[in-house]
Amino acid sequence: MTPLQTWGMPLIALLPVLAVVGLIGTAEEQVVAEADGVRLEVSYPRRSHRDVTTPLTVTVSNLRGSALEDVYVLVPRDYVERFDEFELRPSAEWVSADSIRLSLGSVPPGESRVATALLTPGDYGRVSGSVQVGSGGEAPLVNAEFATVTFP
Amino acid sequence: METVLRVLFVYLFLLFALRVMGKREFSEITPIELVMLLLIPELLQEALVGHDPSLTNALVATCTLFLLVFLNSVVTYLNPRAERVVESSPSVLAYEGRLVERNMRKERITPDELLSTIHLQGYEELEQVKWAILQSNGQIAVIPKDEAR
Repeated sequence: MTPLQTWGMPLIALLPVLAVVGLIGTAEEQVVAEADGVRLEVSYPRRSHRDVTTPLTVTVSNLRGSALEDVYVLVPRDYVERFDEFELRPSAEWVSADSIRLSLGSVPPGESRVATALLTPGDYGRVSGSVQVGSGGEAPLVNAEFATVTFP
Repeated sequence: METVLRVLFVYLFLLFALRVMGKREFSEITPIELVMLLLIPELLQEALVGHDPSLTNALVATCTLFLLVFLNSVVTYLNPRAERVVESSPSVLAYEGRLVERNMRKERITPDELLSTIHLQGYEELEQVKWAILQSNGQIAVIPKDEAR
């Protein structure tokens, strides 16, 4: 091996090794919050790459003995609009200056409802977000915070 | 992780496929070089890097390919048996002015094709040739007899 290869090949090998052990590349993580008989699970992209679409999945479970009526999910606009493209399912019920509200309807006892956002970042860097879930006209019952870092 | 496995699979598949195809199919470049030429552009294609067209993923794929090529060269250098598996060994097509028909059939080379190569090397007759050898890279080396030099 030439001296250049002696130090150059380990550098070339570094990226595949980091990819295999999961230190680079898209990574998802889950955050769980629970309060007042409502369980919120948010599966979000912890690491994403520019122009690569990754899902953010919000699962709301009703742990109460009675149905949760008019369940809604609030996502901050700052977070969602940091992405060049985003697709919300279900569609936004309304959009305020601060947040986007999605309606999940009624959730019977022991059941869950899912909302999904497909996010395609166009900028690099870290962006913090949160998901709040409430029912009816009440203030949000449960809140989960997370952050996404976008790499080239 | 997925990208590394994809590149590894495609690399091994192409090595196998090119080895099976035989030497004559690659008379200008070695099979390993052809693997490189085929793979580098493809690494940037979505088909090979999955649904991730990011720069990071493309670099991971390209580095994986370079690493495999380097490891291949190390292994074949250190282990002659591995070299025979990855790269085919030379075949004698003619010796002392006579065709070695068994090897010519095996390599799918006709007498006319061999004579044409001999003429291109500047020799008129097969009798002037001591050795005609099909090299691993698909080219035919012609070594004349002493009196024909």
